[in-house]
Amino acid sequence: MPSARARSTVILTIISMVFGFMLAIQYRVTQQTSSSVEILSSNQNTKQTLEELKVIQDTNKQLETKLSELEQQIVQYEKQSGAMNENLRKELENARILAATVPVQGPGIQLTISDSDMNRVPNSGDPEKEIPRIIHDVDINRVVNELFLAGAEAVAVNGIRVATTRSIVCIGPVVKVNDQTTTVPVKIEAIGNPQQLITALTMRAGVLDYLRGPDRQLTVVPPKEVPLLKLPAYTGDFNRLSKNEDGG
Amino acid sequence: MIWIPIVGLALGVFIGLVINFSIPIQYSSYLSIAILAALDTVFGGIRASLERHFDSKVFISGFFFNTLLAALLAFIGVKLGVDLYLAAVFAFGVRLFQNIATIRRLLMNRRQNSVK
Repeated sequence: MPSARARSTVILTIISMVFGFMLAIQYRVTQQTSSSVEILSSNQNTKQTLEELKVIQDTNKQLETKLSELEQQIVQYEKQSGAMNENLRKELENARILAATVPVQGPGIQLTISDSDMNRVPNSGDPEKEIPRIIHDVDINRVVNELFLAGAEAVAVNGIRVATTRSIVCIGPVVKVNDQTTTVPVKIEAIGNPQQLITALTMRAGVLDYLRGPDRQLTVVPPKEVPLLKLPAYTGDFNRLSKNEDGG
Repeated sequence: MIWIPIVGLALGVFIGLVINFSIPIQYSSYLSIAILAALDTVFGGIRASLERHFDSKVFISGFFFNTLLAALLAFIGVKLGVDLYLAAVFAFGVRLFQNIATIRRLLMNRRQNSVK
């Protein structure tokens, strides 16, 4: 019976293909989750933990909304209290903007920095120099410092407001601004006198020239004027903020 | 003609490794049970073919039915809070070892017969 034999061979082949496919998929999933060793037994635990995390995140969100509401209330109360000296109020407002505790809006500039197109320095022959040209915290700090020096009133990195007691740190492939993480490309927005800020950044041998230069070779989209920028308030741990004041 | 299914197996593994397809982690336990059932059926098929009463219909229906049933059983078990997948692991595991033992014995017998 050659036909029956051929048929069973075909069936066996199909089945072994399906089986091999299943094996490969399962192997890959297991490789992905090699850290969580026992998926079966920890399934319940994982779910529970995820649910708890979600509840905590929700609570966090609610509290943050409440916090911003309360902040606004404080501002309103201050406005209502006519007894307050006009100068004092203005000073407080400025301090708030500087401390990044309130959202601000106004004219400003915007620029974007991303990793170098060139992965390696060509023909350098020096293995030290043949490293990928990626953004480091120092690069962002340089730009942010330059902006503040040039009179920027508020700066945000990828939509995260930079507090006066800020920290911009590299953690592996991501950049940590305050307590939030973000990745390249880095969009930097600053509120201030646009002309002044742009001039400060693009001055010859200035910070942008350095970033584009042979040492860093980063891709920089030149700063452009934005008539109305809206920057969010600093969202983070205010206790940390106040404690860090000495170190910052 | 035994090499054609083996090539199929290799092809299946290759496809599974190459294409960018993966299932969510929470379903990977069902897949593992299904794989165990499939493995059991495959060894059952090998044993049946050695005992010369291999039936492709029984084999193909057993393969898919056992696979789906095992996954379904594990799924129901998770929903009910009973570790039913343990039952599947136990049943298929025991049968797997029995099948392998039978295959070994059959192969040894055959070799002895051919030596004689």
